[in-house]
Amino acid sequence: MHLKLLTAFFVSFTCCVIAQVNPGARQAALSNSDIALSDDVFSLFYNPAGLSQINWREAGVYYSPSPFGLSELANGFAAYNEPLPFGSAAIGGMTYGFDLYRENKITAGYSYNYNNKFFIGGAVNYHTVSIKNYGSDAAFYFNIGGLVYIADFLRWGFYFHNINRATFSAEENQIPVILGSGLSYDVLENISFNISVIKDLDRKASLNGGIEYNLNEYLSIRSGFSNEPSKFSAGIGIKYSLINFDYAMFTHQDLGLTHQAGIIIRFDSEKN
Amino acid sequence: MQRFFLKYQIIAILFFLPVISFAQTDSLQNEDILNEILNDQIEDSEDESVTDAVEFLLNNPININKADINELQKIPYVDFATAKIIIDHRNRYGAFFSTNELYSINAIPKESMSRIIPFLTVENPEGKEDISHQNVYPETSPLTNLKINLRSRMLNDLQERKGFKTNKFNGSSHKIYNRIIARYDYNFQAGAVIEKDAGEASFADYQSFHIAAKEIGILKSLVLGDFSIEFGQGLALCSAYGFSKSSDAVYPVKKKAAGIKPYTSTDENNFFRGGAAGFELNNLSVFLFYSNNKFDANIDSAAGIILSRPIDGLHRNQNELLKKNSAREKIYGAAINYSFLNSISAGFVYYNSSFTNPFMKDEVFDLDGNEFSYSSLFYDAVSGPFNFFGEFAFNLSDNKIKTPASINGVQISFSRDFIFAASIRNYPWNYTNLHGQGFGEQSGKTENEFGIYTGFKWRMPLGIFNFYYDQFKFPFSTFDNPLPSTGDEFLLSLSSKPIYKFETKLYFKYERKDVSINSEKNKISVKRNRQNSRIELIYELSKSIRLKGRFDYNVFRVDDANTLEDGILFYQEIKYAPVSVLNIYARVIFFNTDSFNSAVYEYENDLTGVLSNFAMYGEGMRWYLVLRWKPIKKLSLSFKYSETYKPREKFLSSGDSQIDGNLDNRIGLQLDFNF
Repeated sequence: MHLKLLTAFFVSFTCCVIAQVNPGARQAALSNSDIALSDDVFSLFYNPAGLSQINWREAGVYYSPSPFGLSELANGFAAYNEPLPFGSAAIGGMTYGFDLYRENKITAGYSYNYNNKFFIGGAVNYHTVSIKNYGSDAAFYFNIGGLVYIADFLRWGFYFHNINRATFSAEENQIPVILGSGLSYDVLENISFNISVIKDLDRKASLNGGIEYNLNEYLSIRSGFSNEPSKFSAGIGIKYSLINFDYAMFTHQDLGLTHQAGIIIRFDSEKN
Repeated sequence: MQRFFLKYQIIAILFFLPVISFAQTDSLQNEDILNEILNDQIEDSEDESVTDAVEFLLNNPININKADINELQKIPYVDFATAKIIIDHRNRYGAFFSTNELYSINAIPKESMSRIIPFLTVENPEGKEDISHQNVYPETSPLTNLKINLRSRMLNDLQERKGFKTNKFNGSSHKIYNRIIARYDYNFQAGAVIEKDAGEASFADYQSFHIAAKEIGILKSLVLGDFSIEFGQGLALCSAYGFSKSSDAVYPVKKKAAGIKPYTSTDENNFFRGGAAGFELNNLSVFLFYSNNKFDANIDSAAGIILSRPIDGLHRNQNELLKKNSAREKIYGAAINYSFLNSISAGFVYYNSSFTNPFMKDEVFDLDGNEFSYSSLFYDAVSGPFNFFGEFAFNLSDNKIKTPASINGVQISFSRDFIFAASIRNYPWNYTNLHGQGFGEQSGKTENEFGIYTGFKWRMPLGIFNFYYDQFKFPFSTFDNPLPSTGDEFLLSLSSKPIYKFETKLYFKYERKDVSINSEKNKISVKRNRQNSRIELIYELSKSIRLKGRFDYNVFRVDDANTLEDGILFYQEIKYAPVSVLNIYARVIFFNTDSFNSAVYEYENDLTGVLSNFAMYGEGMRWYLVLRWKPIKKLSLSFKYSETYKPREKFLSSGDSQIDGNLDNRIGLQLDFNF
C-alpha cells in the first residue's frame, strides 16, 4: 500500500509539487478532450472562456474519493457561476490531500461573450500548499482562455494556465504551466466529438479524444482516451429537472482505476 | 458581350473602390501581407534579404499595363497560370483603369487578388499614377512629389550575454538600425542605411547608400552606390534573394531575376558598390556594371592570402575589427537581353572579378587565385501553356574548358487550376561560383550538385494541393560529407477552407539524405531521415480578430546509428485589430524536442523588415507580443517583446552569446516616418 502511495505521488508529481487534480466527472469521462466544449461550471478550472456560454446560474460539486484506490489522494471541488449583463463570473474552490499534505485553491473567473461567437475569459487562482512539519506556501496565478464558434457544429477552444509562471518556494516550475487547444465537432445534433492537445511545460504533449452521446434528454454516455499518460475513460450523465448527475471512471496503465462523481444544478433549465 | 463586361467591371470598381482605397491608405495592410508571404514561403531560411526584397516590390509596384508575363511572376503568389490569366484579360479588354478592376477577374479568387494588388500599379495613357493606388508610403503632399521614409529600429536583449559580462566587446548590447529612403516622382530614389550590431561601438559600423533612377527614356535603371544584380536563373549573378523550396511547389522553381536594384539590406558582405546602368531600346536591353567593394576577410599577414571570409558582419572588438573590410573585390561586367515575339527572351552576361589578395586553396574545388571571370547564357520562352526557362553558366577563370553549370526547367499551365513545374540542374564541382545562387538543395552554393525537381499545384474543390519531389546528388565531397552523397525529399501540402473564414493547412515533408557520422574509428556515411508533419488552423472570426493554431511533429531518424528522435511544437496565436490602425499579435508557443536534430522552425511576426524564423529545440516555451500602431498617416510605431523560457536549462545559447539562466527575453522598437 505504501509503495503504491509513493508511486502515485511520484507519478502525479513528476515535475511539480502540486498534483494535477482536476474537477468534473464529465471532463474526466471525456479525458479532458473538451477544451472547445467547456459548457459547464467546472470550465472555471480549465477554459474560463466557456463560462459565458452558460447564461444561467449554475452550481456544481465534484468528488473523487480515492484516486487509484488511495483515499489520501481524495479531492473535492465546488464552483458557482453567475450570469452578468456582459458575460459570466464564477467562483470555485478545491481541496486535496490528507492530514500530512494538503492543498487548497480558490479560483475566481470572468468570461466575456462577444456576439455569442467568441468567448474570452480569465481566472485568478490562489493556491496554498501545506506539508505537516515542513511548512506551507501560497501563490497567485492566472489562467486565460478563448473559445470560438467557427460554425454551429464546430468550436475551437484554447487555454493557457499559469501565465505568470508562479511557483512555490524558491524552486521554479512547481505550478504547472499548460497550453491546451482543442476542437469540438457535433457529428450529429446529439453526438459531439472532441479532440485536444495539452502540453504541460514539463511533460510530454498529450493527445486527448472524447465522444459524448446524448441518448435522450435524461441520459448521456461518454468515453475518451488520452495518450500521455495512456488512459481510457468512460462515464454517464443523468439529467433530471435542475439536477445533472455525472459519473466517470478512468484507468491509468500503472495505477489502475479511478472513480469520481459530480452534481451540477442548473437554476434555469428553460434555457438549457 | 464586351460592352456587358465593361459595364460589369465598372460596377465592380465602384463597389470595391471605397473599401479598398480606404483600407490601403490607413491600415497596416501591407505589413500584414508582407508577413503572410514570409509565413507561407519560408521554410528554414533566416535570410533577412527576403524581407527587403518583398518590401522593395511593395514600394516599387509593377505597372500592370506594361508588365509582361515574367514581370508579373515576380510577385509572390503569382504563378505562371495567374500571370497568364491577368495578361489574357488585358489582351482581351484593353488596359486596366485601376488595380481594383482586377477583382472582376473571376478566375482568381478575391482573397488571392487582394494579396496581389498591393504589388501592382496602373499608369494610364497620360502617364499619371492611378489615384486609387497607394503604396507603403501613402502620403503624397499636393505640393511636391517627394516622399521620404525614415526607419529607425532598436533591438536589445534584456539578459546579459557572456561576451558583455566579460567585457569582451567595445559597444553596447543594442542593435540599432537607421534607414532613409527618399523618392521623387516615380523615377528617382536615394537612400542610406546605417547599422550597429550588438556589441559594436560605432552607430555606423555598417553603412550603405545609393542613388537610383529608373525608366527615363531609354534608361531603364541606374544605380550609383550600393546595388544588387541578378540575371537569368541566378547561376552567374544573383543577390541572396530567393525563396527556396517551400510549401508552394511551383513558385520557387523559376527565378525571376530583378536585374539592377538598389541595395538596402544589412547583409554586410553580399552586395556591390559602384555603378550599374540598364538601357532598353525596343526589344534589346543592355546592362553595364562596375563595383569596387571591400569585404571582411581573415588574411594571413605573411603570405597575404585570404584564409576565410567571415560573413557575420560582426565587428565587436579589436580582433573582429581587424578583419573588417580588409580585402577588396573589383568587378566589371555587362549583360544583354533580347526579347522577340513578345514571348521569347534570351540573354548573355559576362563579368570579371579581381581580388586584392588571392584565396587560400584548401579543398579541391575551392576558389583558387585572385582573378575570376564568368559568363552565362539564359533564356525564357512562353508558348501556349508552356514556359521554358534555363541558364548555362561558364567558369572562365583559368582558361580551361569546363562543363557549364546549368539549369533547365519548364512550367506547364495545363489549366487554370493545375500547374506543373520541373527542372534539371547540374552544377559541376569545378564551377567554383562567386556571386551566383541557383535553385537547389544547398543554400548559397551553386556547385557540386545534380538534381531533378518535379512538382505541381492543383486548385481542387477540396483546396489547394501542392506536391513536389526533388532528387539530388553531390558527386564530390561536401562540407558535411567527405564522400559523394545523395538524397531526396518530397512534400505534400493541402490548404483548404472547409468553412467560411476557416482555413486548414496540412503539411508533410519527408527528407532522406546521406550524412557522415563518427563511428568508433572513422567517419561513416549513413542515411538520415527527417519528417515534418504539420496542422495549422486559421479562423478569421471578424475583421478585428483572427485566431491561429499550429501543431508540428518532427521525426529525426538515423537507423545505422540507432538514433531516433522526435519533437513537437504547438502554438496558439491571436491577432486583434480593434481599429484598422492598430494591430496586436500575441502568440504562446510550447515545444519539446529531443535535441537540435528534431528542432521545429517557427516563423514569427516581427518589426517590419526583421525576419524571425527560429529553430526551437529542447523543452520550453516562448511567447511574444507585437504591436503595430499608425496613430497618424505619417508615423507608424512597432513594438515587440519576446521571451523564451526553458525550465530545465541552467544556461541558454553558447559561446559569447551564452546567457546564465533559463530565460531569454528581448525587446524591439521601430519608428517609421513618412513625409
